[in-house]
Amino acid sequence: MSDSVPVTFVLADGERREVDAKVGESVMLAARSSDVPGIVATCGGSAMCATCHVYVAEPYAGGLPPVEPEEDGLLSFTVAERKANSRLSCQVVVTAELSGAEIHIPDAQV
Amino acid sequence: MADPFAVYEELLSLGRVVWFPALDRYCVTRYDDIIELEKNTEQFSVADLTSPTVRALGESILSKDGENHRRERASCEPALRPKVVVDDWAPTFQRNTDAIIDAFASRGSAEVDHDFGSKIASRNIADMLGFRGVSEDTMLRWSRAIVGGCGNYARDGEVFEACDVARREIDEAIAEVADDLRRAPDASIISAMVNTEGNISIEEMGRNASVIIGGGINEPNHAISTAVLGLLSNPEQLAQVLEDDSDQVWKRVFEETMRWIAPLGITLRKTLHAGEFAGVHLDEGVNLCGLLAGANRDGERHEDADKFIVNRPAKPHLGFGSGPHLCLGMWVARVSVGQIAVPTLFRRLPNLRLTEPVSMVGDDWTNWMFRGLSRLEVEWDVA
Repeated sequence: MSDSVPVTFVLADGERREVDAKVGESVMLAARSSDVPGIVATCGGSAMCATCHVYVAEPYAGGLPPVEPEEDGLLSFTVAERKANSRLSCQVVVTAELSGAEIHIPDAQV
Repeated sequence: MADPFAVYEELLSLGRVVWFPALDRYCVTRYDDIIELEKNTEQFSVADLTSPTVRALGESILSKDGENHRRERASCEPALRPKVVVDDWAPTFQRNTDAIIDAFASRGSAEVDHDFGSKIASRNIADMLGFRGVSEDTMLRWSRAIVGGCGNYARDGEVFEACDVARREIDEAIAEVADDLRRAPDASIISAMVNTEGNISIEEMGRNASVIIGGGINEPNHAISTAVLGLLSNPEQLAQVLEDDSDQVWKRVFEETMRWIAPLGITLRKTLHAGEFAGVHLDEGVNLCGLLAGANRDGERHEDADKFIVNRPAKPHLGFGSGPHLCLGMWVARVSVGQIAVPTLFRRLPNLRLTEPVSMVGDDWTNWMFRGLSRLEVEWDVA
């Protein structure tokens, strides 16, 4: 089994960035370690700042573990519109199931 | 007192990591590097047992790294998450704000720090902690004693003694409410601490409640007077804000306030091992200082960075710091100051204006680390 899986970040302007995301790390860290812009993550991953908002494209969003109450509460405070597939990327752990996923970055985090 | 922003600008022009003799530290001047400084806890530590903060507060969340810090901080977080702040605390903040304005509204003039900002912040934090019986004056005395102790680089014995007295009284106040909150938990911070799964000792609670009383009163108070100054010094922007009067525009006012004059100006770290950082080699045990307030004025990041501009493009700033030590009260401040205290003041006091011109330097400004006005005279029309 591979230690990393390919995921594609789609920036707000439509640019696509395919990165190797390390299994076990958060999607936020996967984006940051590949210098994918548009994810601010001011708090560094403790679910306090709501600035690492992403939209996970289906069918991958439905396959993720459910949103926990803390993440749910913060998702009401994102700057870009909350949608059914909104997640905080610091709370989504990369797994083998995420291989090939398309993750859209909203046009604003602050 | 000299203008810290002129010094920040010079340090920024000299490089990314600049030796600053007055602080006996290397200053980290740029946004991206400060983010790394605060995030990279493998290389940079907040634990400095020789600092006045540790003498003043003991080893609190301010001076712990890693898992210990995480556990203690997490014990407070349930009371400070935005949904709890908006759903459970905003009505209390609004009630407190109105009551404090009621006391002086008919007077036609006030001093913002004394009559408004310090009282609002004291009452709000007392209520959030669960200290209903503690007066605003007592909260303010505690807060000033703690902030004084943390900044007591001169090691003045009386300053530390005042801090010790405040901490004993805070411990007593916690002991008074702890049993009740164990039996009947509520939305308060002490309730979150005593009912956490993280098993927090009574000593840890006292130290961290002291951190919250120190920063949770001083910084919101400064943010209030800075926001009032920013708006009253820019009448065209004020008119536009009052015309709009939406949550969105007040949010922009508040974020710009925090960028313009960050209430906590600097953040301190020490290297845990030798290594490369921001293009330089640093030995082990080197003292560093992230210039939060300076990086917020970086002209390459923010156009006309020295000016208060409500409508500037939204961009991340370091007014709350970042990383694991990101201001624990960020959402409380955004709501209690940004959405309630400042808007309510302008809505209730017609034609609010400065009584006299305010200089951006001088004795009315507090020190560099905790930057804000200690005196801001305003007046308004009384029917």
